Amino acid sequence: MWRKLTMLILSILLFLCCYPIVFLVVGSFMSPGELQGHLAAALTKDSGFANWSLLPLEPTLRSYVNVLLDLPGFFVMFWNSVKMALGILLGQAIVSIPAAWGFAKFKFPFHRTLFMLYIILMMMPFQVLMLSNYLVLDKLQLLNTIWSIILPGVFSTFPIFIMYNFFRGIPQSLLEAARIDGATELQVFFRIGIPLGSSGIISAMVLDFLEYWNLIEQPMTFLKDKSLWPLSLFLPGISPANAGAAFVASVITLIPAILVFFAGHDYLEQGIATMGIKE
Amino acid sequence: MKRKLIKISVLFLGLMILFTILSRAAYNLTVPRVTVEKPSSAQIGPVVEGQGTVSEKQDLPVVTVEGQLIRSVYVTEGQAVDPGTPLYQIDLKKLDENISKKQQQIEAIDLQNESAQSARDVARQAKELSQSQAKADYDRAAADGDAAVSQAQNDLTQATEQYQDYKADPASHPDQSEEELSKAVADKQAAYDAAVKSRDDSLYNAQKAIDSANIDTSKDTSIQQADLNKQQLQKDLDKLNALKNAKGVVASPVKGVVTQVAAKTGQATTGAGDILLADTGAGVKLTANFAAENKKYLYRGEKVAISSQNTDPKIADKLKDLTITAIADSGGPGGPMAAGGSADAQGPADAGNGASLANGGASADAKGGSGVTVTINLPPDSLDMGNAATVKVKTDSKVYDTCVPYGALHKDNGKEYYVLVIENTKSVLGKELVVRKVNVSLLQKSEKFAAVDGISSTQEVVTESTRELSDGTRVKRKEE
Repeated sequence: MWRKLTMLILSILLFLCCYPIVFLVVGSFMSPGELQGHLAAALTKDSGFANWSLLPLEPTLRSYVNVLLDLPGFFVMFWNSVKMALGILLGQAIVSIPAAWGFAKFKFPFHRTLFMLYIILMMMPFQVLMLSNYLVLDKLQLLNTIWSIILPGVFSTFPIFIMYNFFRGIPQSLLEAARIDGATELQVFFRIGIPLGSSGIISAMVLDFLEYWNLIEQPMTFLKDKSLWPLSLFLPGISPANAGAAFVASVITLIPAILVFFAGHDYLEQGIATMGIKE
Repeated sequence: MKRKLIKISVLFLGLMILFTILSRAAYNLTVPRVTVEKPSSAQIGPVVEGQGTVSEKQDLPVVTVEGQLIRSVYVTEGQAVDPGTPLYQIDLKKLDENISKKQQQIEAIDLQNESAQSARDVARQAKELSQSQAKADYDRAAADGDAAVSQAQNDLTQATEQYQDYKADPASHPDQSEEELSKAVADKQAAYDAAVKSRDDSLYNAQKAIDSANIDTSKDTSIQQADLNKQQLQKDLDKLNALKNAKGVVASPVKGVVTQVAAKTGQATTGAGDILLADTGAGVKLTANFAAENKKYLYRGEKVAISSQNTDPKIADKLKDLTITAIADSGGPGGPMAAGGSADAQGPADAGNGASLANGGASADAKGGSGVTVTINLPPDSLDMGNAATVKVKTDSKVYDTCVPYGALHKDNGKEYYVLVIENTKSVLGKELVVRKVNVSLLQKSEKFAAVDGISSTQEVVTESTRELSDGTRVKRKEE
């Protein structure tokens, strides 16, 4: 009885969590007229309330054709998002993994203070750091270039924090044994540290991809040229005329995130489980 | 599972690459291609052009005697005729009847004149008789009166002598007293006075009779009037006889073109223009219409050039340097000529006569009204009647710094002029060209260029496009 009740409550919650996705997909197959009828009250100054239907009355692929064939700007932004996300992930792989390993395995002076500083910086929202970032990028003449997004992302502290915990879980005795066997620090890092910490690394990459794939504030602040904007800025203003395109763009934007999540959710679960057991 | 995910991811990226290419290809296909030019300086004069039609200079109405029955009409409108070409034929039977009627009318007039003359003679004779009789009466009254007066005079003298004798010697008349002699003198005096008065009265009355006999009778002009009528009838008769001699056929007096056929078989001739001819021998003119805004460039004597399609080069040379002979308001009250019209019909030309009056075009200067009509006399053997032609007025030109090709100038709902210029803009797809609408004011225009104000010489103006453009439309240059 309780089990069934629990299942029911969880199902309701599941539906509520999944409903935005359903809303998105259904809307992408609606005709412009139907969308206008449902959303006019929300998107224009019309009085009344917006409404919705679970299934489209006039299902059509018109919005998909419009976005995929008539809007080349959408693909420019898509590839900008891909460049930004992959660039940041690659940079983080080069910078953050060694940094996390260093914090986890080496006791250098002020390492605790520095790590605390990293945590504080990690917790600060973008709005706090925006102005200082802007000034630094302006001095470096990187404003209005894709590097104004990639470089701050590469040197983000969040993946260091995630990977630090995973690297800390690697037994010190294993590393000592490797050193005794004649392994250098680099060999220890590449052959023991990275393989054993791979779940943490991939978890951090997945979370970072989800974060940087949906970046809005930094591109709006640091990029003036629309040709550099990512997909998240494709339709900053939704009106009844472009609602269909907005829905389709959102569905397509969702697909890479879903694919990356499904590819890495095992590692995420594994990492969370490992952290939980350890603690 | 992972392999599946990797495959799906690769497929997804592959599809995105494919759609990227397809969407760019579709976009490039739909983007209009434009040809642009920068404004340049050019020498432009106002283009003053009008369209018109060649028509005859003179019209000739062909008339014959009124009231004849038309038997056949041989020509139609637009037909060319030569001198002597039969135009229409009168019914001979009816013609003979009319001739006979005229002759009878003339005879009747003659007889009337005879009677009138006879009456006049009788009246004259009667007058002469009364005059002579009145004179005779006067003479007789004078003679009788004089005799009576003379007798009375003598009696008076005698009585007066007797009285004077008595007075001198009363014994000369013993049997009469003084009173008796005095009374006798008085009586004789009275008799004398009475005789004089009687004579005067008789003479007065006789003179009155003479004066009455001398009064003129009222003037009788009936014979002269009848003569005038007879002359007209004789003329008509002569015309009818001439028509009869021509067997009732009315021929063209000149070489020309039939412009109007009012004569119809079975109807009577009107005595006015039964048929209207355009006298090609008198030359042709071109009547052209111009817009009201061009009035200021048009005046008599202004040089013009005329062009027509399919014109021989030699004839085209003749038409390059002509002058305007007349200008009129077209559309206003009393405005005379419409383009192509032949409104200046002249004096009548009787059949077999051929004389006609010449008249120029309208002579009113262009004032208000919706347009202007100009007339230009054409040289002989240039254009034919009915030809359409374009008249260009030679005007002064001036150098303008900002000139665009005329095709680049557009009008906004018939109100303001505008041009389309391209400018660089940054979009998602990078630098693109978009079209912007710029309002300009037109300073002057010609067939090829338009001088405008409102754009700079560095802006590139769209002169041609593969699609219709509006403000903000993305475009590409044609050479790309």
